[in-house]
Amino acid sequence: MSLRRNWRLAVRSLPWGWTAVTLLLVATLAAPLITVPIGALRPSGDAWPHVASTLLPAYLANTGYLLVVSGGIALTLGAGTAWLVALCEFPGRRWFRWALVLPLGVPAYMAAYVYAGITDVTGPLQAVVRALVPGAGDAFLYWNVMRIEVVAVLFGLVLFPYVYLPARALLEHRAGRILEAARTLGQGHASVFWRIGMPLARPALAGGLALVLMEVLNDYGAVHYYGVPTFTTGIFRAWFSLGDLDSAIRLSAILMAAVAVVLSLERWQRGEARYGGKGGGGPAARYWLRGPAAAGAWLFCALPLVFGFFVPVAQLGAWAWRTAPVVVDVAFVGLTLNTLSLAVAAGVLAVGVALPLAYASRIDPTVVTRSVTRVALLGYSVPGAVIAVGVLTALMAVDRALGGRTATLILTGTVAALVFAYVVRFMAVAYLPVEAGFERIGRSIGAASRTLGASPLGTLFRAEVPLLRGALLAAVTLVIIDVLKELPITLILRPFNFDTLATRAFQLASDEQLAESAPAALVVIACASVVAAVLQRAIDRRAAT
Amino acid sequence: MSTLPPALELDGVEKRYPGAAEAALGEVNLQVGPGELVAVVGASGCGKTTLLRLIAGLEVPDRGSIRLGGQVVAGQATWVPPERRGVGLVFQDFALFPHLCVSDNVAYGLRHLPRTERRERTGRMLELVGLDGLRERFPHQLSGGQQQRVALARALAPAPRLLLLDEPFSNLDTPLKIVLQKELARLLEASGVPTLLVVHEVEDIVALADRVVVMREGRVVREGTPVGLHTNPGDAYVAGFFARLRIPGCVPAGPFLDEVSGAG
Repeated sequence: MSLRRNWRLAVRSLPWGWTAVTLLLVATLAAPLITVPIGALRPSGDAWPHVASTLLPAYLANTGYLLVVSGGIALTLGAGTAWLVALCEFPGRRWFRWALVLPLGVPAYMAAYVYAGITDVTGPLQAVVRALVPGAGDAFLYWNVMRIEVVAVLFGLVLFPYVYLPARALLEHRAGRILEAARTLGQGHASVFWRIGMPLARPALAGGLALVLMEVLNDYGAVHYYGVPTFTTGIFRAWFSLGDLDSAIRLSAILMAAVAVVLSLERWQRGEARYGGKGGGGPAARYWLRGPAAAGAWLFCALPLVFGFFVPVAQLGAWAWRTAPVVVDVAFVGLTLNTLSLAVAAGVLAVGVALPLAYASRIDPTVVTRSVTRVALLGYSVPGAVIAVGVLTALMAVDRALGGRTATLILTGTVAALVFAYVVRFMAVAYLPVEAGFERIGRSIGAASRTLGASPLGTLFRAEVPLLRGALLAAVTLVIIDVLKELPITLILRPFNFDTLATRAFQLASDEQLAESAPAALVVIACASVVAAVLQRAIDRRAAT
Repeated sequence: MSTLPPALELDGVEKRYPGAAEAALGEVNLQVGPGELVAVVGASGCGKTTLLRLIAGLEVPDRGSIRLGGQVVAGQATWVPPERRGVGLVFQDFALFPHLCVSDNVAYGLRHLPRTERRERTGRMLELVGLDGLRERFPHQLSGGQQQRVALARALAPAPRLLLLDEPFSNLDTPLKIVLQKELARLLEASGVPTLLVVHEVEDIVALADRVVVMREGRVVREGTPVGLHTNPGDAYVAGFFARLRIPGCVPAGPFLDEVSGAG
């Protein structure tokens, strides 16, 4: 009796209890990420020398090209629109301010096949030109939009809000007085933009750009559809076409190295920018644009929005109008519910893991818990295809251990494996809002609860979780949206004959059934865009107070 | 002197922020003569900062006109943007450019000058504020008092026709304040730039002003010399500001002092 009580007390007062929880969770989440570089250290298989000499150069060149060009376009559009919306006044500015996030709701692979459909021989563009100018159809004879340049532009068009959002927030909330000081010193608009505005916004621009580049590295659907060989298509090819897991692991390891380079460049950028914080207190006085300047500003905001959101959505809408009566049946509703329940499961599980992790760092903020927790967040920067390969390798090892010599597949190829991969990939999406929520509550509530006799666990559930409700809901929602849009992980790890809206839309598009893919694509885009628009309003309100 | 137009003239200036019930500024008339130092005193939220932002061109008045050296910069159908007003503004939090070193901060407004001239003028400004040795430092490596002096040198460098100071001492520690107030008065006198200064409590520098304007709820309620307002405040609100002021050889007025000390 007393022994048992002593044991319980001992457990409860363990100084490293939460550290142990942290280590256990992080080890599970990091396992698939670690298997990739470890696997790459083993002696290579027979196929690798061939892959390395014949395919790798093209993978490197194409991936590099996409990173540079898409990154440049996203940076230009994101920084430019953020400046116009935060520092200028022109007709439509307020509307653009929230609408400019909408392209985030359009997955790059959907934009890719929609534009292929629009510019196709049977598509609306060529049809209109032929109808207007007899004989003009010949001009399209050797016309081919399935080019790497087009993919790069499409990435820029749908990903630039990753730069726009943080740059706008910084310019609106943290630079007002400094930009006004520059104006009272007699400098023109261009000088203030280049010499003060952009250097101030640099940490935000670097952070946004890093997200854009990671999304470019993550993409499989767009490059596959346009036939551009990159690392992700290489991983798919090695695994699906050749059954060559060894080459897939090696390609994944190189891709992880590329991500590490992007992340450390971003870190380095931030390290340089120690300043910031002062000069806030409300947005700056605006530049009143008139005439051609106002028209130019309007176009600069309108064009990426039109081509990154409205054109793809309108085309999908037109296709869906035609095919929905056939496509949307009981099976389609089933597919939607299936996808949603998968996404909700992943979202709840991810937040269920993020909550103890964030709480452990909060009540026991040692170097160990903090740095180890950061490891768990790395999944968000690792491309989906790499995570899928990692999960596959890790689970096959677990299956071998569980099944003994019979080598049966217990976890591999199940929905559980898929959900696990989602949680690994989107842990940062769940963790960061929870962490921010904890920070907003402050420390005195938890301290008060503890002095009133509640244990750490009791404090978490009785005092902190009720206050965290909003943050937890936001975190679950964000993960749900990411799972809805997710393609490469799902394609690799899904059980046989298992589909989500995203894989169904992509599969139909790949089979040139573009119109039939539209209803599923529209459901995904509608969910993602609405959430993007609603959440940025919530973020705004928080920043304003 | 009287032949020159006033450095600054506000005529019936009104400003109401969208959604606000009360006007931030109502019918403000104000003048700053050539070479004058004018102090505006008022409790927080009485519209002092709005006043400075209107003069600098960072806000647009709803009514009334603003003239700088006789030229209308805001009025009916006229509005000159801040970059073309030639008004120096020292912000409450100094708003130094965090990514530029001290001398680049000061030189920022001198882009129109040739390089050698720019360097020469920057050097002279830094000497004036006594920061010659800190040219290569960045703002985050400076103390509050040093930051303030950089902000002042930066605002004075382009030779503005009017200098505006927003609560120049609110971000500084008290011991520093006393030293810097005297220094600031000396610098302003040396530069000869007409200056409008805004403070929320009467401090030593107000004693050095040519004129003092007391504001309350967006309106000018009293105007006079420091000594005049000190000896004859007129009401308890004004007396409350001036009770703390020490002017050598000057005794504060009787009738409102009890009220002031009674109020706390």
